[in-house]
Amino acid sequence: MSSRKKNILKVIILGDSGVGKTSLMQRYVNGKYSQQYKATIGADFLTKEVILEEDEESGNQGAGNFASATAGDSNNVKSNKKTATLQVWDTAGQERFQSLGVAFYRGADCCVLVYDVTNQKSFEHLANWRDEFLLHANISSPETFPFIILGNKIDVDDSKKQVSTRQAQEFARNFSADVASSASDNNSFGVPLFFTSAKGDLNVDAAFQKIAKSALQQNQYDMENNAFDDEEFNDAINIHLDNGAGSCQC
Amino acid sequence: MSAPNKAASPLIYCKSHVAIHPSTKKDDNVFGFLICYRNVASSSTPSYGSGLGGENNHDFNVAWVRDDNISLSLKQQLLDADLYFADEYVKVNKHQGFGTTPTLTRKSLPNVDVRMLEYKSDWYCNINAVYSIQFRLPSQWYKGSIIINTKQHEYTSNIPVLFFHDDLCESTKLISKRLMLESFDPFTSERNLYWGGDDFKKFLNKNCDLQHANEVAGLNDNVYLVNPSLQDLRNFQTNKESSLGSSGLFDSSSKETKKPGLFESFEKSKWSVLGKIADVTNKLTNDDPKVNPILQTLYSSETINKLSNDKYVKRLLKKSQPQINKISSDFDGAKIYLAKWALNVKEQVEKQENVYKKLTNEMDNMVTEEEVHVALERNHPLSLVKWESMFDEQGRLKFTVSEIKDYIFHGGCVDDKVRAAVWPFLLNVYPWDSSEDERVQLYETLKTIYELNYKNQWVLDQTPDDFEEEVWKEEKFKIAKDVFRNDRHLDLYKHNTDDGNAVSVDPNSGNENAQIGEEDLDDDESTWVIKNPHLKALENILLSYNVYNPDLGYCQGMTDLLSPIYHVQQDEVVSFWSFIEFMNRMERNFALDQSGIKEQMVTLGELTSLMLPDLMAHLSKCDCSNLFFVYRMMLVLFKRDLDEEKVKQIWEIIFTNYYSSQFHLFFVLAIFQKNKVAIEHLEEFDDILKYFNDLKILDNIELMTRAELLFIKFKKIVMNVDETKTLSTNSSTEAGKDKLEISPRLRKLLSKEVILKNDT
Repeated sequence: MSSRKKNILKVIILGDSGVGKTSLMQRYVNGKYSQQYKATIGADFLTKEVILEEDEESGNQGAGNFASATAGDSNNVKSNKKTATLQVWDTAGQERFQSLGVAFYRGADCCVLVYDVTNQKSFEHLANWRDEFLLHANISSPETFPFIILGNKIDVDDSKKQVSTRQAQEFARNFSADVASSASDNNSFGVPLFFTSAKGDLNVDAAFQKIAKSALQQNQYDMENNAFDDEEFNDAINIHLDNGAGSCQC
Repeated sequence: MSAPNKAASPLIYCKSHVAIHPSTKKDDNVFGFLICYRNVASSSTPSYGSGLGGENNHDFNVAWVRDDNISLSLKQQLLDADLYFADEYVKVNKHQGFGTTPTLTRKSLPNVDVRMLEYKSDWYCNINAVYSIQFRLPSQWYKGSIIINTKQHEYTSNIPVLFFHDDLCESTKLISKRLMLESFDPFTSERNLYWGGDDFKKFLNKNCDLQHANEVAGLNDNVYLVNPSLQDLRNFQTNKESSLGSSGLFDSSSKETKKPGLFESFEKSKWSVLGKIADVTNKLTNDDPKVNPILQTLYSSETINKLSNDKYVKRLLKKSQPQINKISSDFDGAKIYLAKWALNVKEQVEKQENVYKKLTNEMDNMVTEEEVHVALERNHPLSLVKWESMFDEQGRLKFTVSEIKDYIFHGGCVDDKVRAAVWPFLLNVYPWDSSEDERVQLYETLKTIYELNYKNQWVLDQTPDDFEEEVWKEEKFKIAKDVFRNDRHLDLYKHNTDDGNAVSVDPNSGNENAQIGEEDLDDDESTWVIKNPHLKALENILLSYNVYNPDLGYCQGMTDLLSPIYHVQQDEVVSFWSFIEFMNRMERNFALDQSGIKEQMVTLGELTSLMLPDLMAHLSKCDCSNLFFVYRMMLVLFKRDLDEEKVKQIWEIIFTNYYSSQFHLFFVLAIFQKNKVAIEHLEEFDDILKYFNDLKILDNIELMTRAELLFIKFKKIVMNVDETKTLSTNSSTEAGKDKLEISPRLRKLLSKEVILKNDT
């Protein structure tokens, strides 16, 4: 059973411990930064109302349907603005408890992968985090599910940076190469990459604007599929369940 | 109390001109000395490790020797000692009004032969045999006096009332003169006029656990309980400061209010107390018949009439007719005591009734009011002096472990100082039956093992035997990142500098850039370098634990578990070994396959189904029956849900295993019960998780009370189920079919044995 709610866009932030997941969330939602965040245990989330302007060029069918369903009341159809609630999930960075994450990943509309530009390991682990997420999150179509990569802590001195911009861009460009392997040809696509600083408030809003947009698209896409054939959709989930980690029915 | 020659002498208190008054005639008065001395056989042992600060004076005798029974030289020695202790009094109480330059008599403490004194004394008894002492202030007409009640009745009758002749006693005169001269304030800190008995009270306060049995019967009769047991305190509870109004004077009797059975319960625990008061008043009348009219003048006749016309009081008096008759024939004033007492009870009852009723109702009337009373009564936390009074002169516990655990479970420790002494016992670092010397040795051994076997393995940047270099580096990094972010709001951990103090900024050399640079250095997250010595100690302990338990490795949450323990101890060695014991209990939570934490969630689910079936049904409807929303509470035992002090209060209760080794589940259940209505308004996993994450538990006294009552209720349910089972198997096969079953999992909750990782 899905915990998806209308108009709520669920975003999961993943990444190694200490890369700044909590700080990014706090910066985006509450506009503040503190040195005193503790290591996150379990998971928590914050919500924020977002206003999204429809991207003209992204001719997503789902988005269109959604707009006509809700915009009828008062919104000017031309400006195509929508409000939604972004639910940003902050998770624990230690991999030990990922299978518990299942409970928290369900119904995600977008996954944000964060690394620390001063920590090479945290960058190398991004692929693991992605796989972990896909394994447990019960995603209906992993090939198209939106991911976004954030390289955090760009405010620090250049001398301390361990991950080069080029390296990161390359990873983002080839992101889906190994995900969408079998079914959908060699249709590899890149994912958005942002360089941010929660401490210095650099690029955080821009990144989350993109995150919200991607989440909205994904949400509408799923709703559409769900509406078309509810039963089949549920079956699909069940099949996924059986194929994937058996432990996630909890 | 640190005169150099003092340690040699077993005499620790002496007061001259303390008299008994065998008759009303002045000439019959017999003068003597009130003395306290340490048992000759025992010598004071230096204290270390267990937190027993200073000399252990908690075991001593009180005696009274009459002047005419001792030699002149001995008498002179005692007079000198009298003055010596007066100096001590002045020194100790300097801050309470004495000037900074006391003109002391410079008497030294003579080496008195206490064995001789004991031999010559009229009576002597050990302080632990004393039940209570009543201090009666002097008045215009009467000398101040004390009445010592011992636990054995025969004994008490041997100890007459002792009168302090302040006008004759040199030490008393000296002290009051000082008070007048140097501060122009003849009052003591309690705002009473100073008198000879104050010395004795001060002395006792320092050397044993002296509790004011406040305003018994509403009279300020200054009864003090000496080293009272928790049961005594429960009986005498006065509880002015309690915010909940959680309990009141004599409130175990209050539960029977307005029921005919009032005296059945009150007789048991309270009658002995009233009996003692009656005894005292009885003695009073014999010794000094004039006291009677004095007491009566305290209350006008209208008051007495009004009191005795009160319906409640009347009934009370009628009910207890035999006892009342006995007392009132002995002494009229006892009536006032009783009347006032009854009124007091009535008042408390009215306040209490609601709390009691509410709680019993919520527990479906499955707990008795006595049980509610015990659970509510949490006003006697362990103080340092109480804790120390529980040890004999060898630093060995005199009380049973369960008595001590009762104390901790129902009141906790007053502050971190007490915790530093108590927790190493609760966490099995020191055995309960160890002596001070043994603990000193044990500490040294533990220190050596910690350093040689664990810390030295990594301390010089080496990789420990059981680790690959890469893995060790990762572990180190994980630990550093969490320690760096641990409880930085607490003063102890706040500043990441070598001495743990804030970087001092010289306002004169104010290059602004330099200042910002320094602050940055303090906070620079990208380096994760720990400098604060206390954070460093946390890191050391966690790294060493990693060597101790290489299979487990570092897991997030461990820092949270260690932080309060270290905060209390501030000693790396004791903290390390305490942490090991704590981790034995917590380790199953961190098992990679999560079997441990899931097992607990399932147990909690079954428990909730049994105890709060409606709530569990609701949670299941919301797809929340896995209870993941309490995951954080379980993993770090409420560390993120309560402030520091409350975390410690909850933890020490959990450490006792008083009812169950899994008592934390009853805390969670109590939280469920308390928040049931709110939870039932939420319908999604997200909302419930959010509710629990943001839940700040403010009233943890209520939480403790609920948890205890829920446990009692649970235990009774199990007993009931078992009883019906036996009955039904005996009678027929039919009945047992749809009867409640208690799973082995739930049964385990009754066990006090800690569940280790491998048990699950």
